[in-house]
Amino acid sequence: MKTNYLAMAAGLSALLIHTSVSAHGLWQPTPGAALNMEVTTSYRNQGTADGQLWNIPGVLMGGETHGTEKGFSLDSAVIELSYFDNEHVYGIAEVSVHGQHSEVDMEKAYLGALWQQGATQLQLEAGKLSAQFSPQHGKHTNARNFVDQPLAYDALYGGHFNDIGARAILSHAEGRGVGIEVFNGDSYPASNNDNPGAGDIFAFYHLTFDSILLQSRVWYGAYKANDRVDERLTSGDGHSHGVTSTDPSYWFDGDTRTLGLRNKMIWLGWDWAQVNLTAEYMQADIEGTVRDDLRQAKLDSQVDAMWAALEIKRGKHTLALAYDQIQTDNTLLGDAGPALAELSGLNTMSDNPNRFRIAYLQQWQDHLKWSVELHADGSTEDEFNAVLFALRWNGSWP
Amino acid sequence: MKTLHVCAQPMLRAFFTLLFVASLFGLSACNGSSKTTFVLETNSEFSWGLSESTALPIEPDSNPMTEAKFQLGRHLFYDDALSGNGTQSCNSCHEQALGFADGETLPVGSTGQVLARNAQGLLNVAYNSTLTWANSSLLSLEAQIAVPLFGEDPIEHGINDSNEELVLDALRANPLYPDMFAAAFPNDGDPVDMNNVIRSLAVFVRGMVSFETDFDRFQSGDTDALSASAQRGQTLFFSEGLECFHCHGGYNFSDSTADRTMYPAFIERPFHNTGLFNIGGTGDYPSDNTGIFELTGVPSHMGKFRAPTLRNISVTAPYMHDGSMADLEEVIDFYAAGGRNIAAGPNAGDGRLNPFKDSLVNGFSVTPSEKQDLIAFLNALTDESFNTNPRFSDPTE
Amino acid sequence: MKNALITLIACTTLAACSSSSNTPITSSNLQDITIPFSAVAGDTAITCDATLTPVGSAAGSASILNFKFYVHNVILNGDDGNDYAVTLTDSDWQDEGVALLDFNDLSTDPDPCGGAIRETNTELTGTVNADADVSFEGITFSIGVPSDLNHIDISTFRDGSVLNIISMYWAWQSGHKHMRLDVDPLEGALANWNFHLGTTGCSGGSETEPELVTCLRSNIPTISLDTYRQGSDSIEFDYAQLVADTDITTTSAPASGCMSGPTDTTDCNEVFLKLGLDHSTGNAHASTMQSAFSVQ
Repeated sequence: MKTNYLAMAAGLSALLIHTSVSAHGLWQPTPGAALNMEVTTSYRNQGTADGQLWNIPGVLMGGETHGTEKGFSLDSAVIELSYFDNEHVYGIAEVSVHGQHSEVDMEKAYLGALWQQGATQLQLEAGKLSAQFSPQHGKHTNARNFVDQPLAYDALYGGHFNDIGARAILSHAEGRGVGIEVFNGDSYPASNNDNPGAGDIFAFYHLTFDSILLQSRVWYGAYKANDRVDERLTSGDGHSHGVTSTDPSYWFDGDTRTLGLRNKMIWLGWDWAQVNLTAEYMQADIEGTVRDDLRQAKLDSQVDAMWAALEIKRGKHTLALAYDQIQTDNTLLGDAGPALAELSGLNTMSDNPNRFRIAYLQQWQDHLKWSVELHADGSTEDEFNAVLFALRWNGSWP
Repeated sequence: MKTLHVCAQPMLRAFFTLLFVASLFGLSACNGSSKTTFVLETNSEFSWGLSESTALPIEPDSNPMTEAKFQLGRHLFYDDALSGNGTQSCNSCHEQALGFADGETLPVGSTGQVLARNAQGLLNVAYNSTLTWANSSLLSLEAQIAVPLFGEDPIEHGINDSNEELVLDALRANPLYPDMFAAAFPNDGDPVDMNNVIRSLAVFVRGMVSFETDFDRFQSGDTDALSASAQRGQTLFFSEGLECFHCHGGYNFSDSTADRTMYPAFIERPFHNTGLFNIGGTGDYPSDNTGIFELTGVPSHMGKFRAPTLRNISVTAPYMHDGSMADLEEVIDFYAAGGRNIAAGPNAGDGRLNPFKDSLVNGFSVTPSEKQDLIAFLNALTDESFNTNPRFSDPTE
Repeated sequence: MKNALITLIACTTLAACSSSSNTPITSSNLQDITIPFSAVAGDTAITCDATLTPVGSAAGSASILNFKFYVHNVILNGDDGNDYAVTLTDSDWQDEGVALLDFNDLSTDPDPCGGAIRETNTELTGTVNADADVSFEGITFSIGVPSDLNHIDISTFRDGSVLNIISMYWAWQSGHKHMRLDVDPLEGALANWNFHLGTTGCSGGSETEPELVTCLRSNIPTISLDTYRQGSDSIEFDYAQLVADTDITTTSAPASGCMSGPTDTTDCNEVFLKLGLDHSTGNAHASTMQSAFSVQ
């Protein structure tokens, strides 16, 4: 099964070299220094982590997936500094604050080099990177229609996968390319690796049919975990939501392999508005051992996470609908299975965790956007409906 | 290459169209529901009579639990024929009404030899990570049961090479046994042998599990199950001041506990010196009762014994490995003092200063009413349903 | 391609040659071996009725009550320079590669050595995988039950197995008595002076094999007799030699005689030395060789 996916990705990248479709252009950065800033703040009347640690039932969560809480929130504050020389070299650093915790994180800090020859471009980057297997991953709140990212990223990547490593992307002006990323493997779902313990490969391809623009992407990632704990319980960033039940510590050792598929369809054939339809499907195969102080059980888990969003844009107005769903099939081998499943949140619920959202956004001023969202959140047993108001500001220099 | 170029484009179009459709319809294709499946390594279908949330005891592969073995073991447990001279059964020193303890300071074997150690209750011994008072090498009930049956010093059941066949003949002569042995061990040609006696006794004793005390009822939400005094006693018991729970902690009130959910390498088999003796000030215990030192000869093992469960503690007096304390009040006073000072006699010495004493036996102060609260809590650990359950009772009565 | 072909042919030829020069393992190469033992006290053969004299440093006399020991890991030294392991054949006296040598010619019913005539076992029987023209000079064997079998609960051995004999079960350390030599000293007040050789200091739950018991002192002597010639010689165990420097008319706590326990030094030290063991470590003594076994 896995080799099939690999073969598919390899075959796809081979084909890329020999085809031509309409041009989309290459990245042409402006030389010099630039500063980008974004702030998103919101109010919601109910969240997933109100008085509890958010856990999507059936999923071994971790990383920085803190869920959301009722009230005002600074969803993100980002400062990105970049510098491009005239030729090939650039550097990018980004610090940000995410969610309700006030810690300032160095999200990215890396050096890159860029070569272009004809319609082909090679990018090499190294440092602290945000993985680029999907354009959705690591997308700033400001660039999203919804304040919260898709459940799939919470379930499979601990919110986001930022790690120290290196990547190479070979792309063509006509909108196709392949990339490979290799990481230390210290970010969920990987952890504590001595040698590079995480990585992914991806390929993308853009097609045009008359007024329809189709952007497709596949990726495959592998992540090794050693002594992985749910950092949300141990990081001491004040985000354990007062959950101090007897002893929540457990460890996971094992491998996570993800396969992702993304399609975005942009319909330009309607004069009144632009319609975008985006769908992502991700599958994670997780094999390893869950243990606590005394007990141990083998885990074999498959998580199918998918989301689709429809976006209708007219001038300053955007209407968006999104549906998310997670489906988990866990098998725990060993008599400690039930106890460890209870401890680690691996027990599933009768319905698949899901979320349906509608958003309306208006670009109010040049740098200011406001939005309102309605949520029907079924990501845990405690289903609820919520309303959310958000303000987004962005600015840049020069 | 040119040919490939031409061919590839429609192929790719088809491929990506397919991908897009697949990624959209992935949603509906995955309409199955999430599930978590548990594959347990449970050895048998035996009915333990425990709640779903209770971890089951470890069951050796060589002797899986069956009801037929349980019933045979129950008959053998109560049968005086299972001794060298036909005078003693397991029941002689393990009476159900007393939680399968015997109420005596020290038990007496079938040939009249007085044992050095107090007979313990048998409730939940299936969960013990080592068995008896102090034997670091006894890991299974099968291994343990050979000790009272065949041990030469002290002699308990007194079965030896000379009388083994006579004992087995006596069992064969009981009209019940041939069929029961055959049912319990259907693959053995002549099933009446000592191996099968040990196996069925082990199954019966391993099946002696129960968690039905007032404490358990309180834990599961019945707030009336514990009196106000017992609740205060519970708080004291689990306090860092008294430290009781360090050795008598966990669901079986003993730190020497193992169940099948535990990863074997993590199972602990601890022993503690509680400062009962300090003969001559060198840390010594009486020479016939030196704890695991007797087995290992390691100086620091002097006086180290296994912490027994406190379940059924109110019915298993007298207390300590040598039965030297008559009631719970005396036991609490002993721990409050942080050991026992014996002023005179052959065992004279201040146990409070025993160099091998566990660092958690430091003494504490309790008021008389706090002591009564503690005793009320300890009384709430009595498993009356176990002590009267006909399933464990003498089948001939 | 051509080179590969040559290599292939060469390999095939070599393989054919080498296989023809190998000795195929077939039953025709199994030699049946019988290794006779005897037990004495000085010049007196050990039987229930015999009076053993002089025995012990006090030069007293004694009669036996129980006289048995286990043997395993038997290796014969071939005159071709190779060592050959003896595979002990399963029988009433041998199981799982362990043999019991038993010198009690009267049953223990009603009293030790007080009953009817019974069978004894004074030999090891087995096979070695050696050509018929190989003869053996020199033998090495270990006394007792090997560690990996010693602490398995005895109900897992077959009914009637030598590893499942009540008198050789050692309740104290939940293992086996490797050697049980109980005697009744005829002088003095002691009713018996017992030697129980066994593995001590055992505990369960090692990191690697939590279900097994590991022990501090194995107390398993290895006996090497260089001059033993298979077919013509026998091996003699001399009880008088074993207790030559031990007074068996007295004893120190905890039990009468040597129980191998780590604190039982007065009764055990010299007896262990005669088996080449260091009582304090349970391993072979650094300088003293065993003297209880000899070639006859």
